Amino acid sequence: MARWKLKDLFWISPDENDGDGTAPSGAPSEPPRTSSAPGSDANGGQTVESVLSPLKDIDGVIGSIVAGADGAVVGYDLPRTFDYSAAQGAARQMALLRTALATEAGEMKTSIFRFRDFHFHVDEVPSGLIGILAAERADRPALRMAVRLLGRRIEEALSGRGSRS
Amino acid sequence: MSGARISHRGEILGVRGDGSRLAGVGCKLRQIADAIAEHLGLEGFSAFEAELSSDQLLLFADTKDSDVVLTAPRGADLTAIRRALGGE
Repeated sequence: MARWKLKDLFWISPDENDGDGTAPSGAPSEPPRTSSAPGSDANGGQTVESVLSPLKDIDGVIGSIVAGADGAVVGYDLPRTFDYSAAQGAARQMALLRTALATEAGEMKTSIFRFRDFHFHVDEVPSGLIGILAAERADRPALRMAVRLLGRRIEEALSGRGSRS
Repeated sequence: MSGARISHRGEILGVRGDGSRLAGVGCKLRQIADAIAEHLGLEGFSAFEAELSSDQLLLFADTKDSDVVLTAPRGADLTAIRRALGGE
Protein backbone atom coordinates (compact mmCIF):
# COMPACT_ATOMS: atom_id res chain seq x y z
CA MET A 1 0.00 0.00 0.00
CA ALA A 2 1.34 3.43 -0.89
CA ARG A 3 2.11 5.66 2.07
CA TRP A 4 3.69 8.93 3.02
CA LYS A 5 7.29 8.64 4.02
CA LEU A 6 7.33 11.43 6.55
CA LYS A 7 11.08 11.54 6.90
CA ASP A 8 11.61 12.85 3.38
CA LEU A 9 8.11 14.06 2.59
CA PHE A 10 8.17 12.02 -0.60
CA TRP A 11 5.32 9.91 -1.84
CA ILE A 12 6.61 6.35 -1.88
CA SER A 13 4.92 3.77 -4.04
CA PRO A 14 5.30 0.04 -3.27
CA ASP A 15 7.60 -0.39 -6.26
CA GLU A 16 9.93 2.32 -5.07
CA ASN A 17 10.10 1.09 -1.50
CA ASP A 18 12.67 -1.67 -1.28
CA GLY A 19 11.73 -2.51 2.27
CA ASP A 20 14.50 -0.77 4.16
CA GLY A 21 13.02 2.66 3.93
CA THR A 22 15.41 3.89 1.28
CA ALA A 23 14.80 4.42 -2.40
CA PRO A 24 16.65 1.98 -4.65
CA SER A 25 19.86 3.34 -6.03
CA GLY A 26 21.07 3.02 -9.62
CA ALA A 27 24.12 3.94 -11.63
CA PRO A 28 24.42 7.71 -11.93
CA SER A 29 23.91 7.58 -15.69
CA GLU A 30 21.00 5.21 -15.49
CA PRO A 31 17.68 6.76 -16.49
CA PRO A 32 14.66 5.88 -14.38
CA ARG A 33 12.84 2.69 -15.38
CA THR A 34 9.53 4.28 -14.48
CA SER A 35 8.40 7.84 -14.19
CA SER A 36 7.37 9.46 -10.92
CA ALA A 37 3.79 8.23 -11.10
CA PRO A 38 3.87 4.48 -11.69
CA GLY A 39 2.77 3.60 -15.22
CA SER A 40 2.35 7.13 -16.47
CA ASP A 41 4.53 9.99 -17.57
CA ALA A 42 4.43 13.57 -16.38
CA ASN A 43 1.53 14.29 -18.75
CA GLY A 44 -0.49 11.31 -17.62
CA GLY A 45 0.33 9.20 -20.67
CA GLN A 46 1.80 5.71 -20.47
CA THR A 47 5.54 5.25 -20.35
CA VAL A 48 7.29 2.77 -22.66
CA GLU A 49 8.22 0.81 -19.55
CA SER A 50 4.62 0.49 -18.45
CA VAL A 51 3.62 -0.60 -21.96
CA LEU A 52 6.28 -3.32 -21.87
CA SER A 53 5.35 -4.60 -18.43
CA PRO A 54 2.36 -6.79 -19.52
CA LEU A 55 4.71 -8.85 -21.69
CA LYS A 56 5.79 -10.53 -18.47
CA ASP A 57 2.27 -11.95 -18.16
CA ILE A 58 3.24 -14.35 -20.95
CA ASP A 59 4.65 -17.47 -19.38
CA GLY A 60 8.44 -17.52 -19.58
CA VAL A 61 9.02 -13.86 -20.42
CA ILE A 62 11.77 -12.31 -18.31
CA GLY A 63 11.90 -8.82 -19.74
CA SER A 64 12.14 -6.64 -22.81
CA ILE A 65 14.07 -3.81 -24.41
CA VAL A 66 12.99 -1.32 -27.08
CA ALA A 67 15.76 0.07 -29.28
CA GLY A 68 15.56 2.95 -31.70
CA ALA A 69 16.88 2.59 -35.22
CA ASP A 70 20.19 4.04 -34.02
CA GLY A 71 20.56 1.40 -31.32
CA ALA A 72 19.71 3.73 -28.45
CA VAL A 73 17.56 2.40 -25.61
CA VAL A 74 14.03 3.77 -25.98
CA GLY A 75 12.77 1.90 -22.94
CA TYR A 76 13.26 -1.35 -21.09
CA ASP A 77 11.64 -3.54 -18.52
CA LEU A 78 14.16 -5.99 -17.13
CA PRO A 79 14.69 -7.49 -13.67
CA ARG A 80 17.02 -5.50 -11.47
CA THR A 81 19.76 -8.05 -11.98
CA PHE A 82 20.28 -6.35 -15.35
CA ASP A 83 21.75 -2.88 -15.18
CA TYR A 84 21.27 -0.14 -17.75
CA SER A 85 24.48 -1.04 -19.56
CA ALA A 86 23.03 -4.50 -20.29
CA ALA A 87 20.03 -2.90 -21.97
CA GLN A 88 22.31 -0.47 -23.82
CA GLY A 89 24.55 -3.25 -25.08
CA ALA A 90 21.68 -5.44 -26.20
CA ALA A 91 19.92 -2.52 -27.92
CA ARG A 92 23.09 -1.70 -29.85
CA GLN A 93 23.38 -5.30 -31.03
CA MET A 94 19.73 -5.33 -32.10
CA ALA A 95 20.37 -2.35 -34.37
CA LEU A 96 23.54 -3.98 -35.73
CA LEU A 97 21.51 -7.11 -36.43
CA ARG A 98 18.96 -5.24 -38.49
CA THR A 99 21.68 -3.42 -40.41
CA ALA A 100 23.67 -6.59 -41.10
CA LEU A 101 20.63 -8.44 -42.39
CA ALA A 102 19.35 -5.51 -44.45
CA THR A 103 22.75 -5.07 -46.04
CA GLU A 104 23.61 -8.68 -46.75
CA ALA A 105 20.45 -10.78 -46.70
CA GLY A 106 17.15 -8.89 -46.65
CA GLU A 107 14.86 -6.80 -44.47
CA MET A 108 14.26 -8.51 -41.14
CA LYS A 109 10.69 -9.15 -40.05
CA THR A 110 11.31 -11.23 -36.96
CA SER A 111 14.17 -13.21 -35.49
CA ILE A 112 15.21 -15.30 -32.56
CA PHE A 113 18.53 -16.14 -30.92
CA ARG A 114 18.44 -19.51 -29.18
CA PHE A 115 20.69 -20.02 -26.18
CA ARG A 116 20.81 -22.76 -23.60
CA ASP A 117 17.60 -22.39 -21.54
CA PHE A 118 16.76 -18.94 -22.92
CA HIS A 119 15.77 -17.21 -26.13
CA PHE A 120 16.16 -13.61 -27.21
CA HIS A 121 13.46 -12.58 -29.68
CA VAL A 122 14.03 -9.51 -31.85
CA ASP A 123 11.09 -8.07 -33.74
CA GLU A 124 10.37 -4.90 -35.63
CA VAL A 125 8.02 -2.36 -34.10
CA PRO A 126 7.06 1.00 -35.62
CA SER A 127 9.48 2.84 -33.34
CA GLY A 128 12.43 0.51 -33.96
CA LEU A 129 13.09 -2.92 -32.54
CA ILE A 130 11.93 -4.84 -29.52
CA GLY A 131 14.02 -7.53 -27.88
CA ILE A 132 12.33 -9.99 -25.55
CA LEU A 133 14.32 -12.20 -23.21
CA ALA A 134 12.39 -15.35 -22.41
CA ALA A 135 12.79 -18.87 -21.19
CA GLU A 136 12.64 -21.62 -23.79
CA ARG A 137 9.07 -22.45 -22.87
CA ALA A 138 7.71 -19.04 -23.90
CA ASP A 139 5.21 -19.43 -26.72
CA ARG A 140 6.55 -17.68 -29.79
CA PRO A 141 3.21 -17.10 -31.55
CA ALA A 142 1.89 -15.53 -28.34
CA LEU A 143 4.93 -13.27 -28.19
CA ARG A 144 4.51 -12.17 -31.78
CA MET A 145 0.86 -11.39 -31.22
CA ALA A 146 1.76 -9.36 -28.16
CA VAL A 147 4.47 -7.50 -30.07
CA ARG A 148 1.99 -6.54 -32.77
CA LEU A 149 -0.36 -5.14 -30.15
CA LEU A 150 2.32 -3.43 -28.10
CA GLY A 151 4.00 -1.86 -31.11
CA ARG A 152 1.18 0.63 -31.48
CA ARG A 153 1.10 1.36 -27.76
CA ILE A 154 4.83 1.98 -27.70
CA GLU A 155 4.32 4.52 -30.48
CA GLU A 156 1.60 6.18 -28.45
CA ALA A 157 3.79 6.27 -25.36
CA LEU A 158 6.60 7.82 -27.36
CA SER A 159 4.24 10.40 -28.82
CA GLY A 160 3.31 11.39 -25.29
CA ARG A 161 6.96 11.58 -24.37
CA GLY A 162 7.61 13.77 -27.40
CA SER A 163 4.92 16.24 -26.37
CA ARG A 164 6.41 16.59 -22.88
CA SER A 165 8.30 19.86 -22.59
CA MET B 1 18.26 -23.65 -50.45
CA SER B 2 21.83 -22.47 -50.13
CA GLY B 3 24.22 -22.59 -47.25
CA ALA B 4 27.76 -22.47 -46.01
CA ARG B 5 29.78 -23.88 -43.15
CA ILE B 6 31.96 -21.08 -41.81
CA SER B 7 34.56 -20.68 -39.13
CA HIS B 8 34.07 -18.03 -36.46
CA ARG B 9 36.67 -15.98 -38.31
CA GLY B 10 34.54 -16.02 -41.46
CA GLU B 11 36.49 -18.62 -43.42
CA ILE B 12 34.33 -20.74 -45.71
CA LEU B 13 34.69 -24.41 -44.81
CA GLY B 14 32.01 -25.77 -47.13
CA VAL B 15 29.37 -24.46 -49.50
CA ARG B 16 26.06 -25.57 -50.92
CA GLY B 17 24.56 -23.65 -53.84
CA ASP B 18 25.56 -20.00 -53.77
CA GLY B 19 26.10 -20.18 -50.02
CA SER B 20 29.45 -18.41 -50.18
CA ARG B 21 27.54 -15.11 -50.22
CA LEU B 22 26.31 -15.93 -46.71
CA ALA B 23 29.75 -16.18 -45.11
CA GLY B 24 29.96 -12.48 -44.24
CA VAL B 25 26.54 -12.18 -42.71
CA GLY B 26 26.95 -15.51 -40.92
CA CYS B 27 30.14 -14.30 -39.27
CA LYS B 28 28.50 -11.02 -38.22
CA LEU B 29 25.48 -12.81 -36.82
CA ARG B 30 27.69 -15.02 -34.70
CA GLN B 31 29.48 -11.95 -33.34
CA ILE B 32 26.14 -10.32 -32.52
CA ALA B 33 24.91 -13.49 -30.81
CA ASP B 34 28.07 -13.62 -28.70
CA ALA B 35 27.73 -9.93 -27.78
CA ILE B 36 24.06 -10.33 -26.78
CA ALA B 37 25.03 -13.34 -24.68
CA GLU B 38 27.68 -11.29 -22.92
CA HIS B 39 25.35 -8.36 -22.22
CA LEU B 40 22.47 -10.49 -20.97
CA GLY B 41 24.43 -13.22 -19.23
CA LEU B 42 23.39 -15.99 -21.60
CA GLU B 43 25.31 -19.13 -22.43
CA GLY B 44 25.31 -21.87 -25.01
CA PHE B 45 24.33 -20.19 -28.28
CA SER B 46 22.71 -22.83 -30.45
CA ALA B 47 20.92 -21.08 -33.28
CA PHE B 48 19.64 -17.90 -34.85
CA GLU B 49 16.63 -17.75 -37.12
CA ALA B 50 15.21 -14.80 -39.02
CA GLU B 51 12.25 -14.25 -41.28
CA LEU B 52 13.32 -11.83 -43.95
CA SER B 53 11.28 -10.06 -46.58
CA SER B 54 11.73 -12.92 -49.04
CA ASP B 55 13.73 -15.65 -47.30
CA GLN B 56 14.34 -17.40 -44.05
CA LEU B 57 17.88 -17.26 -42.71
CA LEU B 58 19.22 -19.75 -40.20
CA LEU B 59 22.53 -19.92 -38.38
CA PHE B 60 23.35 -22.99 -36.32
CA ALA B 61 26.28 -23.62 -34.04
CA ASP B 62 28.15 -26.52 -35.62
CA THR B 63 31.40 -27.31 -33.87
CA LYS B 64 33.01 -25.14 -31.23
CA ASP B 65 34.83 -23.29 -34.01
CA SER B 66 32.27 -23.28 -36.81
CA ASP B 67 28.67 -22.48 -37.70
CA VAL B 68 26.32 -23.36 -40.52
CA VAL B 69 24.39 -20.56 -42.20
CA LEU B 70 21.67 -21.18 -44.75
CA THR B 71 18.75 -19.52 -46.45
CA ALA B 72 15.51 -21.02 -47.66
CA PRO B 73 12.40 -19.59 -49.28
CA ARG B 74 9.95 -18.04 -46.86
CA GLY B 75 7.40 -20.59 -45.81
CA ALA B 76 9.68 -23.57 -46.42
CA ASP B 77 9.34 -26.17 -43.68
CA LEU B 78 12.70 -26.31 -41.92
CA THR B 79 11.59 -28.51 -39.04
CA ALA B 80 13.69 -31.45 -40.19
CA ILE B 81 16.79 -29.28 -40.50
CA ARG B 82 16.22 -27.78 -37.05
CA ARG B 83 15.89 -31.23 -35.53
CA ALA B 84 18.94 -32.58 -37.34
CA LEU B 85 21.05 -29.66 -36.17
CA GLY B 86 19.69 -29.68 -32.65
CA GLY B 87 17.88 -26.37 -32.96
CA GLU B 88 14.54 -27.81 -31.90
